[in-house]
Amino acid sequence: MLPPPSRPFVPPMRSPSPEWRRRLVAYAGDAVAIEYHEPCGARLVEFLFGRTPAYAAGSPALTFRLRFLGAGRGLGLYREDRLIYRGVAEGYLAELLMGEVCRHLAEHSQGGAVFHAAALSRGGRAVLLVGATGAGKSTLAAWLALRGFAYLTDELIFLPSGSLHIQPFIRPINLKAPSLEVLPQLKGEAFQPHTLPSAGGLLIAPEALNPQGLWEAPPIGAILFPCYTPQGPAQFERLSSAASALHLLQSLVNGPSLPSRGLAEAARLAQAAPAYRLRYAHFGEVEASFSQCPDLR
Amino acid sequence: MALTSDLKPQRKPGFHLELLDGEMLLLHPAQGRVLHCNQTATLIWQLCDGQRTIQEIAALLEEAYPESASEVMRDVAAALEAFCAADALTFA
Repeated sequence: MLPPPSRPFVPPMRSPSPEWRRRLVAYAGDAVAIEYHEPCGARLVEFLFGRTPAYAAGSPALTFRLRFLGAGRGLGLYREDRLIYRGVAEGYLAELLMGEVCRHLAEHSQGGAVFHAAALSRGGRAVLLVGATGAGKSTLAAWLALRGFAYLTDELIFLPSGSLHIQPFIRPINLKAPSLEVLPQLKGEAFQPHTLPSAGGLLIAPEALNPQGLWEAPPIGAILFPCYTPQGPAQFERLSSAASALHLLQSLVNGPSLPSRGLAEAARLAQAAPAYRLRYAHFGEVEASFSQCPDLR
Repeated sequence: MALTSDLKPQRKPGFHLELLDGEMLLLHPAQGRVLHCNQTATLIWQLCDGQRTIQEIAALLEEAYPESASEVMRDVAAALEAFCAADALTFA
């Protein structure tokens, strides 16, 4: 009989002692808990979730734990009692934790519809950038923030049933290396205190892109369906409400758990504001489109 | 299925629809697919009550839109094919 393969020792996740701190992250009718012990855990949790509500009516459905594993061994991230990351790459851990939390809250949301969308505000109106992962929402959101729009989220918005008051999931914007190449100012000294290098990119604190601290989403002024298309011609067209609702359905995260798969919610949002499709290869085309559209100025 | 003008199309139950500015989104929750219908197709859907033949539906549209009479039969055929593809109609 062969001996069992040796594995590196991983300290078991013991019950937290009273010194552990706990932060609830509540969104869209659900909540998760994040427990952490070390000062670096506190700083990380504040960076990632400092702008999300910390109060929930019920118990959190899921708990994450940040634990210092010892000198040279970095941090351990546990999802309940299962170790999902161990290492010294704080940025990688941050991105992983933020993604896990967002995914869980979106998929277990209650009381409304959750859409993949970025959101910003200007002049008392919110602009939604709607599209799946990879559509270019984060890059366009960052570019708009640099031009005076107040950044709210680059990933999720929640539309409570019966309401048109969207709730953005306020979190650091997550930009990959190609995005940073076209927005080099974000790598500069002015932003450095507010950033955390991630795997292949940069996380930037929401406060850095919303310095006025306008965190309440105003009424929706326009819905934009952007698509970065480096080779194709630019296109900017107004969509009918029905076409807008169809596109919104494609970005609906929790459709299967909603009546009629969220059709009514998508239709309601589509009727709330004018919608536009934007295909662009560079920001000059975005600027030209925005300048000709009163809903987006 | 070949659509002859004497057939009477009937909307199947269980479909959810949203009317937005004269256009329509049609969804069967079990299927998950959404059909986007323009104003003409929306009107055709509403006329599929199991009482009117395809010919009668086309005649109504020609009367309502005389300037587009030459395209009516083509639009009716296209709409009915889309509804059939979504399994949204039966025929008597």
